[in-house]
Amino acid sequence: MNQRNESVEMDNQLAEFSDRILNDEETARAEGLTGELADLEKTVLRLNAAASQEALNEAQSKRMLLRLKERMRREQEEKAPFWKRFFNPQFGFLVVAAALTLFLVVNAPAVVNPDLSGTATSKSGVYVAAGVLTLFMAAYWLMRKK
Amino acid sequence: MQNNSPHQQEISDEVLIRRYLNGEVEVFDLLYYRHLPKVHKRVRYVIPPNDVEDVTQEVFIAAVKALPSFRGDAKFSTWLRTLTNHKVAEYYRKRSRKQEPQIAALTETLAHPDNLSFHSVEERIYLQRALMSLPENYREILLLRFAEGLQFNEIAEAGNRNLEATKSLFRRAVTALRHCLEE
Repeated sequence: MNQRNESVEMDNQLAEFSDRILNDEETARAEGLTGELADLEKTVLRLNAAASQEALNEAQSKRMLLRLKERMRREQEEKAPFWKRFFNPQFGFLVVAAALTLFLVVNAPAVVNPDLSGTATSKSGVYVAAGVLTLFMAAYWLMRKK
Repeated sequence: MQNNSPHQQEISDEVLIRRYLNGEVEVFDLLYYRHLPKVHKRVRYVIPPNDVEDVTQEVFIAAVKALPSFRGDAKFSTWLRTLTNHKVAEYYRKRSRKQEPQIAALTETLAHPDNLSFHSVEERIYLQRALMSLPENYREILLLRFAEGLQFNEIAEAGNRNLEATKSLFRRAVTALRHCLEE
């Protein structure tokens, strides 16, 4: 019974010591203590000191949240179906711009040498296409991801 | 950590999770800032310094993915703690295939010595190695008290033990840790 009381007493003392250390009420045990309890208290001090450095600060927490969100966004995108990843407004502009460029390239001889095609209609069509292409490129530029 | 209004701080985790699952994605920030310090500190106790941030992020990524399956049977903090322990175990499983994590940590720290001194890293690594070699119930009680700052009565409640048994377990855990550190 006596031994049990001693054991419980030691449990309580070590628990109280840990509480004081964690509450910053005590930074180290008084010098000269020996015995099992003193050794355990030293272990508690080592354990407490180990991770008390480099606690998180606000800037670090914010940066970690941003990184987390960025990663979640990327994972979400990777999970999205193939067509959904590409069919966004930006991609739409690119497709239209490519089609118009192709149209201009095909009709380019008509502009350089009007005798080849001969009609004024095709010539004005090319100018309209060039204008639309410029507008699309301007819109694309404004919508690009910054 | 974050300037949340008192009203927001009063909202329980469970309510925030329900709101998040109903599409209010911005409430995730509240949950994140509320639990980040404890998760980060728990990870810091058992993971080499250079990998602490990555493992912490892994925990939250896993939490976001698993939130729809969170039923609220246990407290969110308990659920997150289990998830953290899984991620720590996963880290050691993966790293043991390549190189012993502690040795890798020392090598990496020596390559980037700006953050921590060699001595403090060495001490951390000894402690991490000792903590990871402890039986799970010993490691858990030490982490609950030191990493999460739970009081002994809270630890007792969480583990369905009485206070006396909890303090006794704590002393046995510290004794085991001391032996591991002496080896």
